[in-house]
Amino acid sequence: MIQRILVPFLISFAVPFSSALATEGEPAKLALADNDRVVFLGGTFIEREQAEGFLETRLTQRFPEKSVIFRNLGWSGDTVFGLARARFGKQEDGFAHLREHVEGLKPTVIVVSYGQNESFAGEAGLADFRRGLMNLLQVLEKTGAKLIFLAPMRHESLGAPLPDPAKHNADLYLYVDLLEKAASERGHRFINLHRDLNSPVPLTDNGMHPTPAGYRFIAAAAADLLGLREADPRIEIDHATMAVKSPGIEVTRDSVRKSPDLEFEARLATLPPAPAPPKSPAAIAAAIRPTRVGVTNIDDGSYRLTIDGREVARSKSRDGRLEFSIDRGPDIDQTEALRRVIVAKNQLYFHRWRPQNETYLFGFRKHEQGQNAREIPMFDPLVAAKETEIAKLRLPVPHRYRVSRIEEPNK
Amino acid sequence: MINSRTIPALALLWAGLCIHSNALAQRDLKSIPDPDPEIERKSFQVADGFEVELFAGDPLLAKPIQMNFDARGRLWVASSEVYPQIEPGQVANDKILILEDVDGDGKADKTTVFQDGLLIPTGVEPGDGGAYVANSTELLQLKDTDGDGKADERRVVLSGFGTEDTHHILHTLRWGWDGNLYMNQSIYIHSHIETPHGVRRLNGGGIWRFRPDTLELDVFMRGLVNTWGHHYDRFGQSFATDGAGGEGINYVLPGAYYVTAVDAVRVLRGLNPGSPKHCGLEIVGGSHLPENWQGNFITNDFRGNRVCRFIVSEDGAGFASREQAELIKSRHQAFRPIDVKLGPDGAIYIADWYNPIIQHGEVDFRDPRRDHTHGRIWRVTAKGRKTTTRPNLVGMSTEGLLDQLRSPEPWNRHFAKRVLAERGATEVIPALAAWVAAIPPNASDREQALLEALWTHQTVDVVERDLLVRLLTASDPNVRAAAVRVLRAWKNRVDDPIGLLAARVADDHPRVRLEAVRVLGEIPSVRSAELALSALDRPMDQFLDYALWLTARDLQATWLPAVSEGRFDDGGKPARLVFALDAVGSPEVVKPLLRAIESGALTREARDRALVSIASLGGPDDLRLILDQAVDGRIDAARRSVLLQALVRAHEQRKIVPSGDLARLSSLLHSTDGPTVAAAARLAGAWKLTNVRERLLDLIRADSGSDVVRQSAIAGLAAFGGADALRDLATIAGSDAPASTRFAAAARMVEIAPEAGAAAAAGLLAQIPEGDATELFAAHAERTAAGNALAKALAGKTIPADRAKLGIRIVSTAGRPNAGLIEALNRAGGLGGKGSEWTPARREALLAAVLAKGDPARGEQVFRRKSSQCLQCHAIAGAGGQVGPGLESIGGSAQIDYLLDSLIEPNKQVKENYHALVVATDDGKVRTGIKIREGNGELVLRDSEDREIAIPLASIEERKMGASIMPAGLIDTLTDAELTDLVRFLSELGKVGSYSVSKTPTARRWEALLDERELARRIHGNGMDAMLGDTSLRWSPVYATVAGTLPASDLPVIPGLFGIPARSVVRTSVEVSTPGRVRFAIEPASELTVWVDGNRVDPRPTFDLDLERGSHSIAFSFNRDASKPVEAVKLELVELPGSSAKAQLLLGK
Repeated sequence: MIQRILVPFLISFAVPFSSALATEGEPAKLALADNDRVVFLGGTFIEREQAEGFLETRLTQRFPEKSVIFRNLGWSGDTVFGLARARFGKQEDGFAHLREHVEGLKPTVIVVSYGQNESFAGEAGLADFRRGLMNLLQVLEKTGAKLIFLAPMRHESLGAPLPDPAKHNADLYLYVDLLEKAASERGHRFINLHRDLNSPVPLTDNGMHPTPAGYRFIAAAAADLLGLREADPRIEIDHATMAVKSPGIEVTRDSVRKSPDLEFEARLATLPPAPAPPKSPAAIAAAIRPTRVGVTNIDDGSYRLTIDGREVARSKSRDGRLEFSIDRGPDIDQTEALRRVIVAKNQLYFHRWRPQNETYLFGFRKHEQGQNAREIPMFDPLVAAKETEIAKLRLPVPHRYRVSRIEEPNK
Repeated sequence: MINSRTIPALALLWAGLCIHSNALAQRDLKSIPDPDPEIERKSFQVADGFEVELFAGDPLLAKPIQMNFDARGRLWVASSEVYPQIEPGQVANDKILILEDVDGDGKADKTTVFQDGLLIPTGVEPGDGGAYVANSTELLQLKDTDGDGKADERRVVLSGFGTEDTHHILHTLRWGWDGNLYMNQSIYIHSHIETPHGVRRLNGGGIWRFRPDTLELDVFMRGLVNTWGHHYDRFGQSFATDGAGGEGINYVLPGAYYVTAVDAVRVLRGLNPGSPKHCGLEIVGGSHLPENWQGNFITNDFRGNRVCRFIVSEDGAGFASREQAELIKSRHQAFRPIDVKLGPDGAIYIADWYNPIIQHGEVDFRDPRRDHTHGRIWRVTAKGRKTTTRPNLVGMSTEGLLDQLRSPEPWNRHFAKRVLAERGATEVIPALAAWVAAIPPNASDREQALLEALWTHQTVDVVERDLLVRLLTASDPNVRAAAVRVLRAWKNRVDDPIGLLAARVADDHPRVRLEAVRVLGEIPSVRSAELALSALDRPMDQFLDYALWLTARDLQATWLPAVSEGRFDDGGKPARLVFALDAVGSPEVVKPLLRAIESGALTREARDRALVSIASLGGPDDLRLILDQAVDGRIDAARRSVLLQALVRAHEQRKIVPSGDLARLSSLLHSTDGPTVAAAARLAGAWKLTNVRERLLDLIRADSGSDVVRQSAIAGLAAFGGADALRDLATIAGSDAPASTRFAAAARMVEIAPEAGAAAAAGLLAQIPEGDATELFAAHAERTAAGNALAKALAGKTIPADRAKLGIRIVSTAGRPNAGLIEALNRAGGLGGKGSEWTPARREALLAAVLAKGDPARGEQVFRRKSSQCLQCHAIAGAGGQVGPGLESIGGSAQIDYLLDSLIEPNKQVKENYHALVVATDDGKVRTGIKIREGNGELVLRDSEDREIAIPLASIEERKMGASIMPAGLIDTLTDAELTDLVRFLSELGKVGSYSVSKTPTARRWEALLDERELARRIHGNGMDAMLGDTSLRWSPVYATVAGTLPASDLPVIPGLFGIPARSVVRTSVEVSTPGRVRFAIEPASELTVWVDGNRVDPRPTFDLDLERGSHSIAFSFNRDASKPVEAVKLELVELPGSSAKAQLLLGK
């Protein structure tokens, strides 16, 4: 049996990291509990998240011990009236579908993001929007779920030939303001992506909808706004005394060895953020806060750090101090694997709740091909199997770290 | 490892399979055709002078859906093995393939999987450094940035496309000449797309217009069922085909609504009514193809296993289209041509989806006969003609590319522009200016070259006003029309667009006027409306009329307030305003219309149009004015009748009655004009003018009156209601009046007293075998109490079997089918309700017999028999009922089991757009029918008897989608042998052979003169020439056979009298849209007397006539006593070289 200790450590020095946020003060921390059911609701912004999974992954990895289920009910072009969900019916039918889908999932948390599509109607459309919003809130509140508003992000200015968004943003601001007031009046959490996203680079390629890298950035920002910002994970080892400090990391006590190389086994408390997608702008890739390993009182020289035998970083010690910054390795791979399973799960769930050929399966031509509707619930066990994989993947596992000196023969 | 023993065994097995397949490919339901491409190729009957070779096939390629070339000459193919529906556990791994003919030998020798992992991609269009791909809900842009031929970058460009039906999802991606990417979706799709310009929504079918660089997206047209083909002629005019509509080539008028468009008030029709359905469309040309193929339209009848060819020509502001002999036809059941493109070598490429099963609405998703693994691309070349040299466009200088814009090869022109688009404005614009300047002033292609330059400007998105202005006044009207369309794109970026359009609204060519009118519809100002409406000063045609109607509605928010504020300038021509007001169709137009009438400046037509609009929208005081006009003795009968009809509708739909003295109406009941009396009688009832009761009774009793007058008088009487009316109706029902009068009286009794009515009806149904009982049954079908009463009253009575079947059809397709009444009708008609006897064994036996013993010729007779009632609802090539789908190509698409099942159990599978709508109204009636259109306050349905019923939207309490309108049990009275023949006949329809509809326009919808009392004597007395114009004659619809002949045996015979032989008389009509010389061919010329518009014409086998625009009647009379009897007659329109006339033969029911 391996004895483990968690060394509690509060960092007393300022940690340099690039903040996604422009806000002051620490937001209240969102807590997810066992058996929570989180529903995402909104238009294209929400709908496309399911294929990227960054936000969902971020929330999943932050609560590794909790059994939480996420369901994405985004629908492109949707409004607080459920307009895009009407299919063959009238506008009211769209809202009825929205209601039916939300209620059917028995959510405990609903992340709701509307307002962008409605805002094209300008000031004249505000009254309508308020009416629709109140109506929607009534339905959502009745589920008893905790509501989290995700206000639409700003329409980015990407230059010609795309439109100048100045006018639209002025209008959008009115809608966000209305949303914020409504949230505050009714005691719901409000995440103001319109104001608080502060990215040095564009997050979209059309002004409106995030790129994969954009989702990666927004996921980090939204998590921070939900009070889920974590101290940077780091391991500090005094090579002389072999004292270990590791905030957020569990180091197996009797795994630490000094020679021939410095070795220990450690497990992160939560997985690191998912890596930025390939070809991301540098500013977004840099937003990843790496895990650090620092060694003091070590002989000067060049060192490599391997995890489970795989080299993940190199560094030179100076004045007896060695520091590694880890931006790859098995933990990050595991987060990426987790994100991919989440995306796969979302895809299966999409086939379940929004199957193609609905007209024949459930609609007015079901008397012809309705027999094939029996296949649709067969996606449930496939979704459940993915949830099992997710439950396993969100738990960090211990890895063997090894710091070894690189011999430089020509010196 | 194969040992020596297994080889012969396998070979034997293989040989066995081959024999089996060859012999039974078309025969055995459980078998599929041999997939050997050579066997398929040999089945092709190819147009003279052409040959077909395999360009690419499985296993390199499975299930191609759309294909497009890129500028390098590579063929990109979207393919799906997942279609029609992903299975749980299946990994979606559909592909975009690139096929390449590296050595130029006409065969693909390299296949690259550009992208896999897709879910039913239904469209691919290369461009912008990669390809745009329709992937279910998304439009993707996939790029290969490292040049290995595989995509390594993926961007969702648009998302939110609906997927309610996987053969309707985003498809037919295609670059326009204007740099827009056009994309189509079909009828069941509901798309909601967020763009930086706002959310764009399209519910139902239509074509999107998209600029990938600016992300501007708009709806180019709405409607059609499955818009699976879209292409542009040399001047950028758009045409579309429909994979489930039946009107051939559709000219796409910008912004227009076509059949099935959601919320369409008025729709534009296709150019080939009655034509089978088509998939894909390519307008071909270039030096490899023969002269007479230049500009031809190639599309695919995938049901009938044919590649079709049409010639489209000018017809006023729009176009006319005529089908030619096929490019390819085949009896190979799995040959499913669905896309067609001109290749870089000038050859025609056909994508063959290859599948014995098509569709997934009607055939199970998991039907084992569904093919998921095969697919072919065929290459069609003209024999003995050189293919063109594939140009190296990608490697060409920008100057060289510009020169290609003047190439005689359409492929080169298009793809040069695509390469220029990718080089971008900075590179292209300076060279373009120099290139334009260098075009010699006397070059014969100068204007076309300048148009290409203008489009290049549009493609790289740089406004060039001078060039635009030059081309707006080009000498070629086609170029002017195209320039107007470019102006549309730049309307917010050039000075004074309205000023530029002013001269074009008054252009000499109607299409230029049409384009200008449509662009004005997108510039919201009163001035645009005033200008657009000035188009009315010049000749109008159906296309222009439609375009102006759209524009008037589009601009309504600007000009309508101006009218009420007195700011609208009609240029002293109130007809312009009347047209616009009429187009709007909402109550606020009544006052301006009244003012226009008061001005006294309206023409007669404009005035009548205004009055009818007022009647359909106005209140009691407005209607009073209509009544004033109607009773004015100076008005002629035709106009009066129009006004009275409008008053009848005002009451039926809106319950509005004129104010003032209504008794003035009674004088009209003494008019000598039948339609006037009929309308007045209905109004008298609606308005409760009970003091005219005696006059109504006189009209009903009068021997000389027409049926219409009698029935209107009965309706008027019934509308009085109460015991008096009931007594009067009962008396009429029991009198010795003609059957139709007595039936009508009983039907009306039902409205007042269901039980008494039902009792009278039951008596009549049993006693009088002749006469049409449709209305009588309908009266009971719509009301539960009346239906129950009739069921009771029929107990113990016997009625003719055919009549019982008619009743069952009407009752069973009602909103709430009354099972008790159906049973009573079954019993009374001695039908015995055989419907329940369908055992699997009987079904199997019958299916086996269809191919072994079924005789299509006998089957056609069963089909045509009145008692079978097929033609009541189904048309062949447009002739026949319009309630159900046209059947001209059903055999090409449907397997025999599907055909039989559809007859036994019509609800099992229902064709798109043929689902009934069930509507409950506030008067307690439930109506069922196929929706035709909805708008302007009413919903119009076509019921099972092919009647159009308009239901005021305000009266609708509930509506829901129903199933098929085709009642079960129609085949109950057929013997198994007859059924076998019928299914065999249906299965042959559309296949190559005797049962495919000919391309020559043939008269298919005729009317036959009915033999009635005294008719022979009257003909003898007056002579047939004089009789032809007699409106009291009764005619009944008759339809040509599939082969296009009208069999004499199906026609009524008017007996001979005093030495004049017995005869049959039939007539049809031809609609001329562009006047000119028209050539007719008739058979058997020597036996026929022929009249055109009542004038005799020499009956030669072919004859030419100069015909004016409008409808012309053609009548035949022939001897039925002759020793050598006429077996059948035939009339065709023959192409007359050099004639500009455009004519179409009458279709419909």
